[in-house]
Amino acid sequence: MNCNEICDKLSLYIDNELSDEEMHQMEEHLKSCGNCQEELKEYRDLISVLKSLPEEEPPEGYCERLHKKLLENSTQKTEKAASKIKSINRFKWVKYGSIAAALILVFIVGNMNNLGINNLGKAKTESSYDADESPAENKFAEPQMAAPEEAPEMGNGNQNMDEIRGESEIYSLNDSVMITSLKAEREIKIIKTGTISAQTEDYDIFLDDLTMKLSSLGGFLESNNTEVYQVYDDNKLMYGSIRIRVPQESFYELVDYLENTVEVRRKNINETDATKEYYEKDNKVKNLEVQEQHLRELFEKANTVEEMLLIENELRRVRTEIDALNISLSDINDRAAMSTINLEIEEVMTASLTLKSKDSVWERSKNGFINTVNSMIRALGNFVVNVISSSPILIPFIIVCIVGFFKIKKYWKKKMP
Amino acid sequence: MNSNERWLVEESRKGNVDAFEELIRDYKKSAYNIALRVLRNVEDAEDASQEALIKIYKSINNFNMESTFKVWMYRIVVNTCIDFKRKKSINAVSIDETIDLGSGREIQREISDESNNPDALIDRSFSTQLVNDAIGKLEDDFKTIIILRDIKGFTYGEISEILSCNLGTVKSRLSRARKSLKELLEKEMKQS
Repeated sequence: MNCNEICDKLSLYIDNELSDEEMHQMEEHLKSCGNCQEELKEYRDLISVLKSLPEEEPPEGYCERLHKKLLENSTQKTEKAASKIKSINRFKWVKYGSIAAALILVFIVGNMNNLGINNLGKAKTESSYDADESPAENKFAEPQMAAPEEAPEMGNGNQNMDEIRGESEIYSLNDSVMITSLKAEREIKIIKTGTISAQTEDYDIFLDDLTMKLSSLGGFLESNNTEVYQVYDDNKLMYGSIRIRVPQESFYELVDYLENTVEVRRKNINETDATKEYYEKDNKVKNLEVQEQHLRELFEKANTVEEMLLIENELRRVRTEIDALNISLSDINDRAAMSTINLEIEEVMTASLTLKSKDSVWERSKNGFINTVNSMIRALGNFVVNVISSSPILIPFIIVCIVGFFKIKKYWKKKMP
Repeated sequence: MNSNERWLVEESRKGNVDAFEELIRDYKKSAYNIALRVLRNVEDAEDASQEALIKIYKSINNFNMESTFKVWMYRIVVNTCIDFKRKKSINAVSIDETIDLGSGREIQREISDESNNPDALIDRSFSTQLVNDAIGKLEDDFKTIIILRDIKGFTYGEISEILSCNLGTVKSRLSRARKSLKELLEKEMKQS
């Protein structure tokens, strides 16, 4: 080690902070080097002077002023502690609030699911007084519920119901169809489809009756899926998904018949005016046929093989198009002539009674009350189901929330001593 | 940390001012002296040291009993004093600056020169005065480490805790600080 390195280490040497080896080297060097010895002595003197430096007394009244300030801060401290408790309470509100919000969310999602399932067409099985709870469904169900026995002949194709019940959309649709039919002499192509969910007490008798009725109307059962969905004591409860085709003029007659024989729980009737589509396609076919005629004439005049091939290709394309259009035309014809009803029928022990509104305040409020209670029970059930089904997400989420909450609390605690 | 000190800390946490004053009884003078060395002004030293002590009182909940109270409180004192000085230097004015009284009138500052004032030197040995001046001229990092090690007698480990730096930094900084102080003193000696 040279003198510079020694000088740098003198400070540590004085404080005994050197390693044994360095200490040894240092002592070896100091023995031989007078300059460094001098330096060491100066450092030691300096440090001893520093050590003996007298401490200044704080000015007079220092302690009193400090005491006063401390007392001031003491009250602030208790206030702060109080505000801390308040803030903890606030956090409690946050905690409970977020839990409540989560529950409400689950509730809403649950009810949305319920609604969605209903719209998909799965009828509810519980024997409540009235399964219709969404206004969208009531649109069609209401007139039927109101007075099914008053329902006049709807199936005669002579749609004059709109005078009687202007509020219903189906009839106003028919109305517009009538207007268009007045404008053009062409045949109206209306595709009628219905979806009906119903309950019956005896499935087999109903099915026999339905088949008889259909044969008298000129319709038929396109498909019939029947299954046993529940075995109750010795009785088998059946469920059927039936597709009925019926001549369009008998459509409403059949709907009426169904309403009178079974307990309809949901009804959806749809009439699509395919007239425009039909005649557009028809015109297209006519144009293409003219084009085909021209091509044939050209084909006969063709001289070269190349020309013939080109024309033949074009002819083939036109013919394919005509065929495709003809298929869709005949499909429209078929669907317009024969209406479709998708019937979901389930067998129950006792079909629930139809509540016929007599327009009495008491009856209606009773129904309303029953509806509300039913939907509350259902909503509660859905809620429980949804809480349980969403628990794989909900539980980690709640854990994260709680952990986060404590972290924040800790952070605040640190920040506000 | 002895049980008495521990009890006093517990009491202070509950807001007992008397217990806290008992706790800092031996330290407040040191706190004041550190402030005085850093700030070199009696009023500022009082303000800064009291600010530091109040800060200690307010944040005594954050003190974990693992380290010693002394080390923990000196850390707050040193940091508060350095902060105080920094804030002050922003508002500091140059003594050469003139004071503008408005409407174009300017006056020169009059600052009393106490360097040759015999009263200021009374009861002080010449070398002490010289050393104090030299310490005052050191930069803050060097000044604090000299105060902590050579005046207050903290160990290297404690200093590293107070200054929140590692042991190597303490060693090198202390070496440089002592060297710097020695050089300053030598310069002053030559001048006088």
